[in-house]
Amino acid sequence: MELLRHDVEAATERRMARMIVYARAGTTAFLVVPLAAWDRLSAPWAAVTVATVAAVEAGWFARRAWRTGTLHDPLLVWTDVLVSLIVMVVGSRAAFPHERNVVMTSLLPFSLATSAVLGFGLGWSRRAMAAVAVLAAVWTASIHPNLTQKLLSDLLGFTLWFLIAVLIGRELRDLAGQTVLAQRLAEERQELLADYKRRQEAMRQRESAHRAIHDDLLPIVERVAGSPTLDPPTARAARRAAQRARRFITGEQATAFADLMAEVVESAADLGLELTHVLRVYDDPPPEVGEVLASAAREALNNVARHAGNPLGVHLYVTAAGDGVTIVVRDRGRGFSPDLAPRGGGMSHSFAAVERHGGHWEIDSPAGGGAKIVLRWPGERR
Amino acid sequence: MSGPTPPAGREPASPTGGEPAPSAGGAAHGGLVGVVDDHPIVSYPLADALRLAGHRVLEPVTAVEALPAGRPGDVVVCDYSLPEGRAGGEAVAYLAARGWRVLATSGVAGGEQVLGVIAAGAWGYVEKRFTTHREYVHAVGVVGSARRYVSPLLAALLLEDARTRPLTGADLSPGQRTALRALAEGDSEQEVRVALGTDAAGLEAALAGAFALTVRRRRMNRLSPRELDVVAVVGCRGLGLKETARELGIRPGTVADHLEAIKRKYLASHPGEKDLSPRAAALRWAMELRLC
Repeated sequence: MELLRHDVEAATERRMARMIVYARAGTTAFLVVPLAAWDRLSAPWAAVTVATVAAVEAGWFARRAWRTGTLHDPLLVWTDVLVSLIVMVVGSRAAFPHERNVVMTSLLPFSLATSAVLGFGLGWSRRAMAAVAVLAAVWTASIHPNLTQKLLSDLLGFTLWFLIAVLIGRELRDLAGQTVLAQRLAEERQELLADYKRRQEAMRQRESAHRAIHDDLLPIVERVAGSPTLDPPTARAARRAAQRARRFITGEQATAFADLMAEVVESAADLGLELTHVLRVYDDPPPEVGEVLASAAREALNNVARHAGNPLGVHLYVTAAGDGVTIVVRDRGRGFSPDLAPRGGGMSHSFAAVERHGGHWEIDSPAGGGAKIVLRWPGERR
Repeated sequence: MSGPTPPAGREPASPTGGEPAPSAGGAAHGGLVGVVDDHPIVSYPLADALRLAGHRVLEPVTAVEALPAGRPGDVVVCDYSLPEGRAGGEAVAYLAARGWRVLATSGVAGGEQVLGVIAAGAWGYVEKRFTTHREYVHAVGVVGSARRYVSPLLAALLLEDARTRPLTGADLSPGQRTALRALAEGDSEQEVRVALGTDAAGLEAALAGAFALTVRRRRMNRLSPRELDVVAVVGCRGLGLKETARELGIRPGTVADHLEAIKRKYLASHPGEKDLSPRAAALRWAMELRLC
């Protein structure tokens, strides 16, 4: 893309440089004209000198501009200005004072080209305008004392050639810039489109994999899992397989903590619990806190399985975000009053670990029956 | 008034052959229950379980288009992934427009898809489970009696929706948040009502309000006609700011503003998408909305 930008804009610069090279070469030819009236010149050798210097400069100018391909070249521009001033000052000395206008008419095209060089090379800048002013002033001084109305049109010429060059330069460079922009947009669009198609394809493949699992595998596995005639270990394995498949298909929240809690959910099936769960993980707690919370949740579920009789509607709620983790284990079994909550053994051990990490827990007996165990870790102090 | 012959002009699809009784006994409600699921292995046992609970259940179908029009009070349990005909939110909207109260269900829909069916007009959502039909029977009873069924998962998702797509105006009230939070944690409706100190109608109003907000959240992220114009020009034709501005007769700054909004709405309606340039967002919209 950068290469492209370079290509279009550099090519435009190169063309502009060549246009000026042609103008510089063409206008140099006019300097030979005064030599045709050799006898009427006060200093014919001055005219020869000017023509020679100008021709040498034009040659140097052409070679340099051709090679560098740009007019943004201070040496090129200022040399041209200098030579132009020399041509004016020395060239005007070739004629008798009252005939300077005639000689200077032949020198005018060469000097006007310098205005154009300034316009292309320096653009709309103070330096360029100052240089044009100097050209005009030296031009006036050189013609002195043969001042006529034609001087006004000469000075207008310096100004207009400069302005026209500035404007043409701007137009051409704008055009190049727009071409580059259009190409860049087109390329960007191509990339975006390719990216979109890649994503679509990936999504399509994922969908077809999901569909195969969802349509062909899951219903069978679930039916098997729910079959009353199945031996318990196989039923358990089938339930786990179904849960894994669902988690794979929904593809949600594949964080370390979410995985950990999903394992807790799966292990609940092994306890014979018919568990519903809500697991929303936005931000993981630190790994060690996650481990401790998962152990505590596991213990809470173990406890439900052991003590709550034939628990119905056991529900595990887990949410983890920047402001901490909340785990609720809810059952509608026999329930146990808070003062009957076991103080020793695994439960208090893993719950104590929650407290050690800055969390807390409570056991509640809601009016609706059963028990509600809440584990809360408040997040890291920041 | 009513003679011995049933009045003409009724739907022929009556499950028991007779004229629907104005009120059914037990836990069942008065209306019919439809089941749409592409797996007979799922739909027939479910239909049986619902019949056993006293509901009058139509023969399960595999596409929403195969159901007759619903009448007030009719409930349909509709699977999210249906290979035949309409599926997902589109299927729910179709059924709702045909007069059914839709209880959406899926074992594979992600959170966004679940919220999508709620926004499409579902009255509730049940996660597919393989061990029991108890939740379905309960949920159909709830929806049949013109109440929303909010499962713990749906409650959590409604809260999550408020978190990822906050509304600038009125969002979930503290009461609604408390109710949803309690439902997500596994509290029963009875317990939630007690905790909120409200009656069944009060809780239903709160839940219906929460459902309406999911619709509003999605409407908020819909593109305006002008934004659609910008998406078409920038996304499909790949024009730059200035050209787009010229094309649409507006200022380039305005185009840039539209593009920002287009990006914001894309990100807001596609959770999980992260950094995206406005132009990339315009292209994605254009492809998604099939504007090119």
